[in-house]
Amino acid sequence: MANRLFKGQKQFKVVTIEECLSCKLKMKRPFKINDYVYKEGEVCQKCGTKMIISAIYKEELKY
Amino acid sequence: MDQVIESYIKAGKIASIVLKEAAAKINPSMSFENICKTIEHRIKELGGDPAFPVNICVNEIAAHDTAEINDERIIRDGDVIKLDIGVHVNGYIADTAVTISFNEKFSDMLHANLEVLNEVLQKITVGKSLNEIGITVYYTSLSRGYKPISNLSGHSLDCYQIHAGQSVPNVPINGSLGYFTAGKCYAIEPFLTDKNAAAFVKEDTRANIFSLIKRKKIKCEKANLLLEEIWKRRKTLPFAARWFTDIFSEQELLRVLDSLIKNKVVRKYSVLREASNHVVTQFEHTVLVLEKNKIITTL
Repeated sequence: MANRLFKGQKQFKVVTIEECLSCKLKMKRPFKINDYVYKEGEVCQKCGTKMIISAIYKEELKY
Repeated sequence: MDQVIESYIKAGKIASIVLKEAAAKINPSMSFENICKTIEHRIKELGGDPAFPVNICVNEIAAHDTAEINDERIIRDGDVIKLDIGVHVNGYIADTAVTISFNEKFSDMLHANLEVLNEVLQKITVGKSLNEIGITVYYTSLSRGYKPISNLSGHSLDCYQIHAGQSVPNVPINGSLGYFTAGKCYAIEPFLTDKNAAAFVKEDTRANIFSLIKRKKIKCEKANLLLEEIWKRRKTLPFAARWFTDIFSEQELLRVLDSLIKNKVVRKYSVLREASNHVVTQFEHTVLVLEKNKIITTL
């Protein structure tokens, strides 16, 4: 029988920010294992150049 | 063998047998009441006692639902059913759950959920951080295209205590939750939903599972009579109102129970619903952690 985590308990998720250096488009997605800052990411949806990972940080989950 | 370990293993064996039997028999058009009563009766037949009322949660209902008094609900074709059962032997508990889907659409989510549980079970060893389980559940679920329910967790078990203080999370948690300790039992239960869901649960207005907080008399004779009966039959383990209809009529029972809740003698477990009303799946096993190995008691 499940236990409901108490309200004061902080929970977080780790997110990765990918940034396009030419058009400055930023994209946020869940962190994947082997992600690191300056790693090459997806292709930019706006200008087609390769994006790079510019930040990895944790975000508090709100519920 | 130690009597405590023996009790944990016996409870696990009964829970495993009963859950497998129930999962094989469950079908659309069966009533909630019939399912709950059959399972609870079978647990007793095999020499155990229900550690909590059979939880039967449909679709977006994630946890804490059981048959009410004179419940008219039935299983429908297309439903996703979570059966969560608990057995205790001398107070030592086994807690296990399975999801049965009558909807093809959710079969991949069921498989993913089972894989997540198996992955986590492999990782459990004495001294391992409980937080690591949250990290494993979270990233394994995401890699399969699903999200775990963030505010539902597994838990430690103790003698006559279903939630014995430690939480085993399904998401990464800030701050240490402690470690797997030798001689302790843990219920591991990842809940999954689809990636577009809110992936957390909210309390519903309904509550049909309760437990005793303290054995303190209040200014109502009937309430005190019920209180003693709860203590005699359940101690601090959860119970359903339908288990006490031999003492009071339905209306009176609910009124007396309400006064015990208002006086903080009894707590209610509200039915928990996925916040965006998306379907939730659940699989669960109980693990007894020992110094050199572990026993999955409900396999």
